[in-house]
Amino acid sequence: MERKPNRTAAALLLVLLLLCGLFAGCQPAAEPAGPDAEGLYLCEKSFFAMDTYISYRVWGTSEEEAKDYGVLLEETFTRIAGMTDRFDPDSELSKVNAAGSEGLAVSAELLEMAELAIDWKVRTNGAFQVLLGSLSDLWNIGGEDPKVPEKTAIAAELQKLSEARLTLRGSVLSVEPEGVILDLGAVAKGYAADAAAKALRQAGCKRALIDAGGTVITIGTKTGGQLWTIGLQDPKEPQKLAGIIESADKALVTSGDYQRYFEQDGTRYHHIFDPETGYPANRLHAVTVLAESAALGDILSTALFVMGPEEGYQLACQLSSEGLAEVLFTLPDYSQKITPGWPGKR
Amino acid sequence: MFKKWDILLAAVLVLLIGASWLLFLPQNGAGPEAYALVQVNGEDRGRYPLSEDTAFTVEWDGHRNLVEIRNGKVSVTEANCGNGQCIKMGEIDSAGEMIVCLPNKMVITVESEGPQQGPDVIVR
Repeated sequence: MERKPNRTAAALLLVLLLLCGLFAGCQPAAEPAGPDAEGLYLCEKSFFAMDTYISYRVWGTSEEEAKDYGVLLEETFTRIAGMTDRFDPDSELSKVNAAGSEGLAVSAELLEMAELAIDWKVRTNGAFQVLLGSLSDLWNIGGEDPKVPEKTAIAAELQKLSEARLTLRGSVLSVEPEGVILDLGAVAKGYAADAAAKALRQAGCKRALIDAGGTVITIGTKTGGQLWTIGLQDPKEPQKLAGIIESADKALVTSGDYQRYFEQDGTRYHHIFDPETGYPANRLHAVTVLAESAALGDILSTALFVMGPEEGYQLACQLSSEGLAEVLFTLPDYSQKITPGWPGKR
Repeated sequence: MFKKWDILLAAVLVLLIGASWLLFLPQNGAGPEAYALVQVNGEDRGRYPLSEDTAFTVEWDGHRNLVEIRNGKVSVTEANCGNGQCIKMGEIDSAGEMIVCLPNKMVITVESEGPQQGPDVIVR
């Protein structure tokens, strides 16, 4: 009879231990509220700029520092978005368009974007073209009730484009002839992502992940030096992933025919125009570029998309050999073609 | 050999363990619970479990999206955004997937309890 209480206690203890084990195994791993293993605090937020949903994660050595980095990132994006908004008559870009052939002395940042645009137009045989503002307005993709324009209207745009010139004399930027509209949409978002990453690095930020729609840029690595894992959206079934790559301190940018589009008579018309035809480029489904800078990724993803699988791939291999970029092409049959240094396999 | 006490203890033990398994079976059997996080203009509007069918309207400053959760998937079925891009995005159900309605500044993100399953970010 003396052993009974001991046995009871042991049995209850056993039950308790089993229950503890069950609870421990089923509890979801909660996000740590404090610092991680490296003493860094996370600030995770999102906002809208440049007609894009931008989300970010930045880490700092204190909660306040992480929040300050977030503010710095948003301010940088918003400033460049404001500067390059051609629908805001007070923006610097609108003033350049209004000045036309007379030209306007521009800020160092707008100057840099214009230089990139001019250089890469040459290097891509005209496939990268930033003077497509009025063609883009004509198509109104992403706007309300878009329709395929009349052929004569597209021909008039192509005629205008054949005479269009973007010129830099010192810091004076001019657009001519009259009626040609400079639209920096194909470079501004990447440029803003670079500017934000640069500002964060200068402020001392060691780790960040910025996701601006089709543009992702990372700073540093994850805890313990692990690389970031970046999923690639499948152009055929956008709810699925076409692959995952690992990266650190790089930018990944995608241009695809599934991003902004409308359909008419069973045909999909998307937002990336071929300056030669005035219609959306139709040689590829998507181009994804891995590069040191998001601005370059932005430019190349658009230009290579327009150039197509042969001419585009040739240039991409050249850029790969120069260490400038690695590229993944999604071909018309949804198969993939990669440059020699593309990380891993799909 | 076994006394009444031993049999009673064994019965209590089996009952308690059985009850605790039943309590946690839904999580163990169906994997981590997935939620649709709805945000408008960067602000959280709510988290809705994908396991419960529902439909609700998200309104903000004259913008309107009808969100439906059905059979474990979430989608936008009506919107006054003009281009209907959010409706074309169809149904989503995996952690990290997103429906973005730019004109209405409305975002739906699928989140999952438990350790992160997918990549850190998806380039879209």
